[in-house]
Amino acid sequence: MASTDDKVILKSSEGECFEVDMAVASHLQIVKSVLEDCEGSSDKVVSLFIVEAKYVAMIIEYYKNYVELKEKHEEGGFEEKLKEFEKQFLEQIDKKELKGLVMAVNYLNAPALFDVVCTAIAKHIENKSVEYVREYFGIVNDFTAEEEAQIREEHRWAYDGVNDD
Amino acid sequence: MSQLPHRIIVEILSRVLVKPLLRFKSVCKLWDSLISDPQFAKLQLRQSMADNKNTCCRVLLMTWPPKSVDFEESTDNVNAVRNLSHPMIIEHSLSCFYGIIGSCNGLVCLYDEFNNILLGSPTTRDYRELPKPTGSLNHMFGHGLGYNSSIDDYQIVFASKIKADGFRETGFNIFTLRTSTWRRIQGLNSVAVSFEGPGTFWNGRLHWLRIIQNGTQRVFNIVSFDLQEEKFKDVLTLTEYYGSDIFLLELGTSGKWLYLFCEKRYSHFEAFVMEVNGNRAAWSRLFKFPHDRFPGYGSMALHLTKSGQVVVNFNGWQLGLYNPKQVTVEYFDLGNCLNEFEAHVYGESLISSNNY
Repeated sequence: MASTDDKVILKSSEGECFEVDMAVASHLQIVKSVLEDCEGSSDKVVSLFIVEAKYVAMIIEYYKNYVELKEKHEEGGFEEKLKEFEKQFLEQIDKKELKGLVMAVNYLNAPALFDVVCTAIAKHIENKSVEYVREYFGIVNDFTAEEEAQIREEHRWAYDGVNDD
Repeated sequence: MSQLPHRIIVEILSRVLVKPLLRFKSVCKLWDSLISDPQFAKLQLRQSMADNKNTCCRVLLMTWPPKSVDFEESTDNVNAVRNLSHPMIIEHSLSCFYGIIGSCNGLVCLYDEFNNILLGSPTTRDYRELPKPTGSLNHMFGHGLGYNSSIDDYQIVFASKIKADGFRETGFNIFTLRTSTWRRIQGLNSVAVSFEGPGTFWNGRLHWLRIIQNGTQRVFNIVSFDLQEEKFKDVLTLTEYYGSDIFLLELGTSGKWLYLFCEKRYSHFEAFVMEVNGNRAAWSRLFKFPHDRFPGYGSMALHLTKSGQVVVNFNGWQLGLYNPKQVTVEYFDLGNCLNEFEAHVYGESLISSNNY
């Protein structure tokens, strides 16, 4: 059993507190650097000002499993097991929430999960229409009708097989 | 919800396949310029090579005119097979011969019987005509297209036995894209040993399969040419893969993998992948299936689709998808394909030969 010294408290934007093992929290570069800055202080609370509680929970869940799987499969097979978990992890997240999650992960500077979420968003939009993608990312079309028609004509075949469901 | 910062958009889009990226050029002006940016093309290529999850391959068929086949599409999709379009290709009559020099990072290099060389991307349709070499391409044997990372440049190589003045001597001709110049290097011993066809560019080197005498035995061996050092190296000898029962053996590549496809006479197809981990390389079996239900011999497994079907070149006359589980074959509609074709797998990318 880890002692309380190995714990850190992460505080969400709403003020909700999450007690996390250091082994898990150390994957978040921002937590690491904050703790290094106040080394020696008994206060181990890190405020994640802009990150909502639901995202803090997701990120903790990911790295908790990451750390556990790594320990359990030291001899090999870690990457495979992690991929299995990642699939399951992503299935329970709403597609719109992926955007909030990627912002949170970017802020916390957690490279492994950043790659996972970016890839998930990439896979999500891959077979989607241009209109869907604009709406998903909140992008305003700044082409004139003529410009857009011309650019679509250039790679007409790339518009085939789109499915927005 | 506020918009994602551009830096994160770049990270996401660099993980998207080439085809949707070409579609997303019409999302807005910023995305159009990002997707057209040569630096982004390199980032996207790096991401797709890092893990095979993002590699998208196609088959190039050297028909008249050459065609590109998207084997991830179903065989009845009319857009699965596309003719390569370029003035050099259309101008020529149906009887013109086209050959492939090689492919690398989404670029393919073609030549015709008049020594014209075309380098470009069938995906973005961005091509570049290259100066003709001094020696004739009709006399070349081993050839290939590769990327030299030390100078961030693409290079074409071919071995021939005839110098510009007609004197017969084995040498290697190298073309460097940035300077757009050909030069010839002599005195490479390995060149004298026979190896043929387009080399497979993988891990910074061009690889060819050849048959060599190993004591009293004839064995397959993989020879490679290092573009940075301009030297030949033996990679490995495949002692177990030579015998009267081996019909065909071929190399291929996808992302970080080097494939070895093998057909055993009256028996089966199998494919192995070589994975490199640091300095160690290991072969592991990708698939193996009996082919006794196929008509004739000389059919070659070219690749594996994401859904687990095998892309097969049927004797150079038809291209199809073989489903090993259901034992079914579906053929792509190649139109009026009257010649026996050469088939070559290449990866898709946004890399443009005109940015070098």
